[in-house]
Formats: sequence, structure tokens, C-alpha cells
Amino acid sequence: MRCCLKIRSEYFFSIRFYGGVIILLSLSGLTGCASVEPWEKGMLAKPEMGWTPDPIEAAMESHIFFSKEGSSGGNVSGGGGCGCN
Amino acid sequence: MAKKRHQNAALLTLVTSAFSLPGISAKAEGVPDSTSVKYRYTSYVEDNAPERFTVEGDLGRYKIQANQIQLVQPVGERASITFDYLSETMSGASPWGVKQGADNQPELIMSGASIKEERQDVAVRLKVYDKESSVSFMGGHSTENDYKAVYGGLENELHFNQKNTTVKSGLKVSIDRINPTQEEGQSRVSEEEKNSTSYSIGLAQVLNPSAIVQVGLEYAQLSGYLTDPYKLQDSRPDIRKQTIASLGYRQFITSTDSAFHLDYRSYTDDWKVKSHTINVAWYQNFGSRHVIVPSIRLYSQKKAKFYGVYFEGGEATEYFSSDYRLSSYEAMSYKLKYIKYFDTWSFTVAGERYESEGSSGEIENPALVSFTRWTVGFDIKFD
Amino acid sequence: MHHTIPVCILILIVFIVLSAPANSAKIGDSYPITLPSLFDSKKNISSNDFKEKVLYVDFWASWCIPCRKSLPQLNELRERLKRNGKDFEILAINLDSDPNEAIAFLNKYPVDYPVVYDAEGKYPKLYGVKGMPTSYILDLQGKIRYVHSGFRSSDIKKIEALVHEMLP
Repeated sequence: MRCCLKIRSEYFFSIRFYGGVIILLSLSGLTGCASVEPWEKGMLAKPEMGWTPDPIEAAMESHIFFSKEGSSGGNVSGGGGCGCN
Repeated sequence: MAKKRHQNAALLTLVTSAFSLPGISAKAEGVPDSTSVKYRYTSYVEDNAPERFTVEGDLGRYKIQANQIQLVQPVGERASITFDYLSETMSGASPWGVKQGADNQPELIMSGASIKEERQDVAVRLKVYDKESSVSFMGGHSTENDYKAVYGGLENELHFNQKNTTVKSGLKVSIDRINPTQEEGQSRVSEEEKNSTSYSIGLAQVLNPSAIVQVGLEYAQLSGYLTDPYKLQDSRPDIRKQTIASLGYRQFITSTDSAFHLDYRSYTDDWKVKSHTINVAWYQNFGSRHVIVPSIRLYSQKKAKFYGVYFEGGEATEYFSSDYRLSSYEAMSYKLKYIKYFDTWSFTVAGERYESEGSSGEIENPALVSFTRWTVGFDIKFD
Repeated sequence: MHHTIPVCILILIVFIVLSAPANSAKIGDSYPITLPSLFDSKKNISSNDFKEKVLYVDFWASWCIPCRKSLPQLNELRERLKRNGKDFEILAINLDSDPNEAIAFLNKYPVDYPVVYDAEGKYPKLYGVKGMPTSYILDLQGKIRYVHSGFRSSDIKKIEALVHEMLP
């Protein structure tokens, strides 16, 4: 478990990995994004395709991570307060 | 008779042409169509402090029990109001500090087990929808016996390109007041303030009928008393500037009836804390009634410039902290969630296991946290 | 990290520049519709079958949230207008990618008017549908007299008033 965590995280956290992902996404966007019609959005309208399908649980999660980790932000939900001990 | 019909039709053409102008006869999409109530109970339990490194205090760390209620109410046909209420009870010991032990081993000092606190958070959000845009106003209040926060925000969404492109922008402000309940050995402050402001901009783009991507940028500034009043060795700058970049991706897979979620966040601040967070989730439908969602979250952080695992004697530097949250570490969490849909309501249960460890080449902070979380709840829709 | 932010900004700019041109039906235009019935793909239904009637053409899909209200309410309106002797009919054009989802929806929210299935999305393109649902009221000559996107309960009264004006 400990060794696997190290190897995996090094790969997943490398800039190249994300650079690649971003370039791929932007290319697929260039070729496909202008053609989606309003009546073709059935899949995108499914609840499991939402950015935050369960906002109330997401608020709890982001509050926990905000309290227990050294960085925060990047999400819309999440309340205030500390609960930081 | 036929002639009269024609005259009427001509008149009607004039009238209805005006109706068909954009923004006049179009209803905004996305307005909730009915009242809904959601409830969640969460149990959060941290692993005990490591016995072999702990020299003082109680080993039993934090336990939190939380109840959350959310009410969403459509207001007219162009707005919705959301009430959020949270009440949580926290108990257990928390890390006070780290000192240098024999052979330079870090030794953990925990607080006594006496801490018991409650926090209540109330928030209201009003969202107003227009044909190609929406605006949200949000305000809330969080209270603990030693910490109060008042926060508010504004959010704006603009849709373009037949709603295939959405630009979001947001502003969040929080004013926090800290009144530490002093325990023996700590008497640093009586009352301090902390303010934070955050600006964000994001763009979501539909790529094809089954995929959507989102990029976001956020800048946040925290100012005031940012030191942790409950730590033995802690002195932090009174300003912190944070920059966050995020990326989200959703893909629906028709052949397996599932949705793939990828979320990435890159964080950096002027304390030199850097982090990468990646979250991957798989929403697997089984018919229209059952959903199972396994997910994994990886987190990697580089320490703050003034962090040290321990400090001994008089500190030569202005800023110092042994807070494990400012150390270099990696964390991994696994989550499994199950949703069962009934006609007018759904039931949810989720379990999460979070483990963290110090980065290689660093002395691991013995206070690094691992926890287990359980959440159960239900959503009800009133048609 | 240092590359991530500029790349993200670049994507932002690229996406903003992209935009899709769209066709749009105008008041007075006439686009006859012929499509197979949702329940029987061998049976074609045409808008020309309803000449001499005011025809309400409704583009909808099972995943469209306002459609859960619009279909039952339109069904009631149709009943009421028929009772009052108005030559009024509704032609619903389903645009689901899977017709079975539409059938499941109609089992839950049944309607008495004809429902056709447009698998290729030919007609919404022709009519220039910009959101779900979108409806068009065709006069006795089959010409578009009214375009309406979205649905709210208060729309029923407006539609009813229009039909009364068109069929005095």
C-alpha cells in the first residue's frame, strides 16, 4: 500500500500527465463542440453527469478537506467556519 | 367567416412575432420544478494518534457527528431559494505540537480528551434564472463557541453557443472572528479577526452529446490572524494569497450506462504550499433504480516555507509552524457510495477511508491524519 | 503547475471564440412534418393530416424537466378545447435518443394526442429548436403563427387565448 501510493502519485501528479490531458480535451473540443444541438443533451442532463451530483455531501467533504489539509478552494460549494482542530 | 379568420391571423402574426423575440416568451432552463428536502447524517472518526510517537495528552482524536438539511424551494418560475442547515458535534483530542525527541525523532503532544464543541451553520442562497444566464446571491453564518464566521457570495452564469458554453464568475467573502477558549499552556490571543475574499472564473464547454469539460481559476486572499491559536509553536504571516486552477471532465458511457468523473485541482500560495488533487469517480447505473459510485482521491502537498516538523528553543525566524497541515505529505482516499431511487425519494449511503503519510525524504509529522467517514441520508421531492 | 494556468487560459479563449450558427423558422413559414408514430414505426403521421385544425407542434424529450409538466397540462388543455368544439390538435415530436425512454415517460404521463419519433433530429433542425421543450402553433394553412421555447404553467392560459383568437 505505501509503495503503491508513492509510485501512483508521482505519475498522477506530474505536469506532463495533466498537460497531455488538457491538450487532448481542447483538441476534442475543437472538433466536436459546435455541433451539439439542444435536443441532443439527454445524456448531459442526467443527474450523474452533473459537476456536483450531491451538493450537500460535497459541502461536507470540502469542509473536511478544508479543515484537515493545507490547501482549499476550487469548488463552488462549502460553507464557512473552522472546525479545524 | 373565412375572411375574418384571415384578419385575425394577420393581427395575431404581429402580436405573436413580438412574443417570439428572444427573452420574451422563453422560460429559463434549470429552475427546480418542485420543492425538495435533503438530509444527511455523517459520522467522521479519526484514527488514534500514534502511540509510539505521542508523549503527552490523549490518543483518541477527533470524532464528528453532523446533521445536514437542505431545502430547495422554487420561487415563482424564474427563481429558487435554498436553505442549508448544518449542526455538528466535535469531540476528542487534537494535536498541540511536535517536539524533538531522542535521535531527532518527532514527539507528538496531544491535547486532553476534554474538547467538545458544537458548530452550527446556516446559509441561504437565492438563484435567479434568465433565459441565457443566472445570478446567485448567497449568505451564511457559522458559529462555534470559539469561532464565528459570516460569509456571503455572488455568482453569475452566462450561457452562449446554444448553451454549449457557460462562463461562470464568482465572488466570496468571509469575515471570521476567533475567540479561543484557552486551555492551560496556551494563552496567546483573546480575540482576533480573519477575512477572506475569493474571486473565481470558470468555463464549461459541451464537447459532444456525452462529454463536458470545465476549467476554472480562483484567486483568494486571506488576511488577519492566520496563526492557529491551539498550537504550541505557531506563528504565521497575516496574509495568504492563494491561486487555484481546476479542471473537470464528465463522460457518459452509453454501452455500460455509466458516467465517468475526473476532477483535478492545482493549488499554490505565497506561503509556498503547493498541492495537486485528483478525484476520479465512476457512476454505475443498474437499471433506473440503483447507482453505485466508487471513487478515489489523491492528494499531494508541498510544505509551507516556514514549516518545520519541530522547533526547539527561541525561534530565530519570524514565522514558524509544526502544523501537520502545512507539511509535505500525500493522502489517498477511497469512497464507495450507493444510491437507491424510489418514485419520489432516494436513499444514499457512502463510506470513505482517508489515509495520509509524509512525503519521502521528509520527517513525517506524527500528527498526520487518517479518518473514516460514513454518510447516510435521503432526498425527497414534493411534486 | 506553471504550465497549467496559461494552458487553461488558452482553452478558455479557444472555447469563447467558437460559436455555432443556427437555422431558425420564422413566423409565416411552413414546414410540413411526416414522421413515424412513436408506438408504431410502420405508421406515419403527417402534419398535413391536421389541416383545418390549429396544430400545436411540441418538440420534447423524456429527460426534459419542464416536459413533466407540459405534457399532462397540454393534454388537459386539448380535452378542454375539444369540449368547446375547437378544431385543435397537438402533435408531439419526441427527440429522445432511445425511444424506449420516451415510451416509459408516456406510461407515467399518458397523453391522448399523437406522438411521433424523430430519430435523426431532422425537424428540430429545420424549425431551429433552441431549447427543450419548444413549441410552434400552426394555423389552418399550416403556417407558423407562434414560437415558444420552454414551458411554465402560466403558458397554458396564453396558448388557450391564442387558440380562441385563431378559432373564434
